[in-house]
Amino acid sequence: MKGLLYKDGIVLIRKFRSYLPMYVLFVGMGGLMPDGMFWAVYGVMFTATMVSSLMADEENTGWNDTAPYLPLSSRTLVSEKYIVSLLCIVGFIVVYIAAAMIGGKPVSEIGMGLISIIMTAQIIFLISLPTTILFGVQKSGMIRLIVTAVMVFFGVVILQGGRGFLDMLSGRENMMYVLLAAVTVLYFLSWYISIVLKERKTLNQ
Amino acid sequence: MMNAVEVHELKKAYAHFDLYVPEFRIPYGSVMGLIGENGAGKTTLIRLICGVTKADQGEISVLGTDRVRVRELMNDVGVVTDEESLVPYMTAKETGVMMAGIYRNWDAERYGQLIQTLNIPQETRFGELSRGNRMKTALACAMSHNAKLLMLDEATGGLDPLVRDHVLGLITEFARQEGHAVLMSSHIVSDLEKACTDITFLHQGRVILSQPRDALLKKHGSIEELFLEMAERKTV
Repeated sequence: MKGLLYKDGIVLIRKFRSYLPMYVLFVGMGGLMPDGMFWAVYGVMFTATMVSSLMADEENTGWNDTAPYLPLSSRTLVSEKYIVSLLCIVGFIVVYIAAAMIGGKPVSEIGMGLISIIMTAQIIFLISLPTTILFGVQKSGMIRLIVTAVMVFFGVVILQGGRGFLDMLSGRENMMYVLLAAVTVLYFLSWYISIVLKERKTLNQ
Repeated sequence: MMNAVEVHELKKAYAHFDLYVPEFRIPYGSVMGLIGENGAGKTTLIRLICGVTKADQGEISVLGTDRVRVRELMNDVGVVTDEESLVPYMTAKETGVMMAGIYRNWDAERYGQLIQTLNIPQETRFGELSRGNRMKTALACAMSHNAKLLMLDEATGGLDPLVRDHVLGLITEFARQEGHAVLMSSHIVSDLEKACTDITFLHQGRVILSQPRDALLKKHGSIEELFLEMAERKTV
């Protein structure tokens, strides 16, 4: 697992380095600006596709042909990608909180912003990871379509809402907590499903 | 247990090809050479033994365990395939750090020695290396985690004669150690003649001969001639 995390760290820095400043810029802007929710969620939507890009790169560079000869189980290979996704979420949280504190946002607004960010990231991960495992990169055009649809949906909702989006949420914190809990359960369920899919795929090779 | 690998009644069928190996053994201390034309089934046999491909039927035992699909076993098996694909953005040094986090018994000192003796550029990324240097890096990885079994699929292709000789020396030295064995396939028959203790001929998914190299040489004079003769006879 440690070796895989190191590998993905190197790949992110060398191949997908453009993601990182965008990540900080958009999520940071979201935290700093008074009506910056759109930027934060857009940054999350953009950056969350990074994990699928890592998986696509493994297929394109032939790493997927090498990995079966290493002492790595399907569980390890899949879990490592979910751990990367969790690290992304932690990164979103840290950058957003830091920027929001600099921007002097009230705590209640930071809380709602964080819930939106975490849910958006989890939705993208829970859709894109198992579908990429199931269909592979070549056949996963549908995944991108679904992820894009999710992004557009959230984008439109937030753009239309603007400041009103947060106002709309205020006073409905309980509903947001329930939604967050539901999405989190689905996220961990997708983790389990992804392991099962990978094991089945490996077994049928 | 006298054999590092034992295969019994192994079958694997694809749409246009099927492999059937009634019996196949790699004794400890031996270097088993696999010869066969393109598509004879060499890579399929290696994939089956490594548990990367699922057999339709038959038994495979590797290093005394029949649970070849349990990935833990690969800690004791070093593999180099002909389509070697390590991470293209990593240098040899970084590849070593990654492997240390993957293999239970990674020997960083041994890896460093191999990188030096095989003259692999340390600061060049894998994707920018020549095919020969990529093969050498993969070989250094396969030989640096205290594996008991080495599986080399066309691993000496792309190496210049000098390095090939050096690599063949490393392979024979590896096999001489107690509890070790090697399976190597190659189109370079002279390499197999030089390094192998046993030779197996595969033709269209069937084992047509598996004998000690010395016995074959005594009987036929040259492995290359025997290979051409057998391939021709089977094709006609």
